[in-house]
Amino acid sequence: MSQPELAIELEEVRAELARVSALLPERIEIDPDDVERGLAGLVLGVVELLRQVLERQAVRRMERGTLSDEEIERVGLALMRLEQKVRELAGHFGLDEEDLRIRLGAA
Amino acid sequence: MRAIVRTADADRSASTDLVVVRADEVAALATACAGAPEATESELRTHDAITSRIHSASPSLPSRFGQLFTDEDALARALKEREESLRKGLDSVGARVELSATLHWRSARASAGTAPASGTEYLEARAARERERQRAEQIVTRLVEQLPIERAFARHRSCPRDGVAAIVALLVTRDEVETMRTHIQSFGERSSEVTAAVHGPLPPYSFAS
Repeated sequence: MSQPELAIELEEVRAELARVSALLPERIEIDPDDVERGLAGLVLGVVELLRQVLERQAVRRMERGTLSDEEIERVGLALMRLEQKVRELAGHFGLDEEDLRIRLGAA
Repeated sequence: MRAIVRTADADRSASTDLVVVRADEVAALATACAGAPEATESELRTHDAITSRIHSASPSLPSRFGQLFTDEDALARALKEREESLRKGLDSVGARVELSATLHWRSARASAGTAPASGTEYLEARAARERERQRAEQIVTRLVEQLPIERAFARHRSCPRDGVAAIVALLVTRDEVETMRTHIQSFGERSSEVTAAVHGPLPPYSFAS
């Protein structure tokens, strides 16, 4: 990747992070009687948020044609497995997609 | 918890089945319960009926279903901590109602029900979903531009589920309800991409927090 392309990529990631950070709530509420679940929701919410940022970036790069077929397959597979793992862990704590979104805003 | 009202309105809004917890300027109306209620249709309808009844009696901020406090003291502490922002919320939102417009795609893309078989398929499906989201955003922008409403009084979620382009929540005065309903329905009739279904007026759930 050339320097100008890298600069554009970095700027896009920065803009995406700025966009999602504007959606974060001012307060994070964790029920003191259910700290484990609250903390799990918070951590998984952050992981899911970052996964979404990376996914959007990967989609943009794919559509721009800056990823080879092999890279598309590898990145897609990694994102797919990460999503499955987040869902699996969320299910373990009795959390659904909405729970993760409520804690971190609709990204 | 069911809703927040001004302390001066608490007695008028409360009924025998509700517990009133007061701070200086705002009060919470809640229902005593032994544990977390299940989000069944019946429980959700009951919650909506209670918040609607409160909101028709006085300005209020309805609670989302399932907001639980261990006891009245915990609720009183939470109320005290957020009293200023709740008071401001009641001033700006409390007397208004919410209209909810659901925009359905006229021709929905095939559901992504089956799991992708490869990384490429996964990323291509996400690209299609992202294009759909961008289209939905443009449609919502057009809708809100055509409504006689300030942009701050509209909130939306794009592509919340298959077949739905967006759900748009609009904060309006009671006098504006029918005019707004007509505008939204007309938008849906003229659009080649979406139909529009209007629900409400409802207590201002989407604007209460």
